[in-house]
Amino acid sequence: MEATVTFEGDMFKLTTDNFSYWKPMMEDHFYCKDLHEPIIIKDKPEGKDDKAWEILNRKAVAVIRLMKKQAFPSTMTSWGLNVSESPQTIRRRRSSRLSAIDELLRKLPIDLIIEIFSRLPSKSIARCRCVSKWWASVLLRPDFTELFFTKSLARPQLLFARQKEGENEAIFFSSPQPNNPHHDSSPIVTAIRHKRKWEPDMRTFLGYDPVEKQHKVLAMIRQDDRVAEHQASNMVACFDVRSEKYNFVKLMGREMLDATLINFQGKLASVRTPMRYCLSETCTSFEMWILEDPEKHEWSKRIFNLPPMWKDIVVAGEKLYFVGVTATNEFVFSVDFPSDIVHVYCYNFVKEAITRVEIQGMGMFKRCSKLFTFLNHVEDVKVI
Amino acid sequence: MSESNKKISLISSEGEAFEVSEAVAREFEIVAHMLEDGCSGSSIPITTVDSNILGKVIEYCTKHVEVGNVEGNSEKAEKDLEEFDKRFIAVEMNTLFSLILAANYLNVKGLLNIGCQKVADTIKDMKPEEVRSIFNIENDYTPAEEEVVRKENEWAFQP
Repeated sequence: MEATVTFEGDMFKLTTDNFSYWKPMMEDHFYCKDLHEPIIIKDKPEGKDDKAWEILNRKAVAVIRLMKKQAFPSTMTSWGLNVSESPQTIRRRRSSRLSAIDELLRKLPIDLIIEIFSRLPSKSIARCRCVSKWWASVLLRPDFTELFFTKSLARPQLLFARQKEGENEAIFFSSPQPNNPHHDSSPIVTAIRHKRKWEPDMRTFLGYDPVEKQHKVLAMIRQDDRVAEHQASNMVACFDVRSEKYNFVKLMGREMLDATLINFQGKLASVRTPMRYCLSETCTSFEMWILEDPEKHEWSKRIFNLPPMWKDIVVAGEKLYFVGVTATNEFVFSVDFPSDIVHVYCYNFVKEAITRVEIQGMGMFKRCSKLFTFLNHVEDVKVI
Repeated sequence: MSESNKKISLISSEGEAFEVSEAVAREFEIVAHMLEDGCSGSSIPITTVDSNILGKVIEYCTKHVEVGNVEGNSEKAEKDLEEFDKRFIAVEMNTLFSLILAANYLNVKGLLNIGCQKVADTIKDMKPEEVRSIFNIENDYTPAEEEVVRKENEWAFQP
């Protein structure tokens, strides 16, 4: 769009995006004013006196300067104007053109710059820290990392870790967490790839203390094939990330041992299926024990009956493991040894709706590579 | 009814007057506040925005007011507006930044949002060298410093 122009007498001024209008008008103007020679002739015409040629050039340059808007350095380098200026002038002009965007960027209030960066994924943030010292300093500001974290909390993601066979290395992928707007749809989500190494022979848990805003890692090392400090049967060991103290909650019975622990609406819950840990297309229900009172070791039981569409949506033969429950009342299931296509399933137990989501971008899966899936993945650029 | 037909002149930094309907002018929150505070003069100077950019901001607001006034058929209208936004914001970098600055000053939230998103989308998949080149940023890291910072963020350079 080159609709908006600025007039100055019978001419309009050059702005960033009206060059194609401006150039022919300027040429006409030069012809009318007998200033055309400097723009059509490369070298000084023969028989013309040096002084007069220089003055003519100077006049042409002055007219161009008048006819461009001061706020924007001109795009004149693409003109091919053969005005003989001193090399310094040309250099000055070029450098002012080059720094224009950087200057504009620095003119933006810092909260706008932070706003722009907070829309990037963490991988881009990490790359942008390599751009310049100023960018790195902006991307490490506490107000930026805070905003990024708050935004990340508002758009939790799915995190996948694919363990390479026989290697202590996992490739991580993250993808938007699927919502469940319509049942039976099969949206496709693309995962972004990260790669990190992990320590073997160590059980680690990541916790976050929202009061002190600290991430903590609890690492447990096996000794003599026993968990070092605490070994308890029929118990759930809880570690308070804030106080760093343990406490224990008794399970209802031995049958709760073959179960998956998840966070259900802010409470610890244990889910048990007819198939030990997982569900298949033939399952019709699963049971859940919810920890109502940790002090009194009180659990309540709830049965979830899967709707009839379950058997139509779940791919035959896939074993679905519990990943967790989202804030929008959805159970999320994934497959631990996926075939070529990775599916994640969402079951909204309020709306009784099931969605199958295909996750792309994780490469072809060999049958032996294990996939771990995590829910509510939040990124914190303070720690990258 | 007469209220909505009222015209207001917005004066750019060069003194050029842009006549718009009050509904369009009210899309500029800064103007809406002025009107509410009783500064009901028919011309409002927008001293920090030049004609080129002011014209574009008015074009954006006019379109959004027009679409907002159409009753029914909202899904198609929304799609059209999305298309319009996409085309509207596909401008070169310094125009984009000028639009963001103007939208921020005039408090046109929708435009500010698509502007910021456009910059973010542009940067998203770029390598540091590409970012430097489109923003004309001088690399002030020494080669040794750059190696360290690259090493620290090595994971982000893997495909």
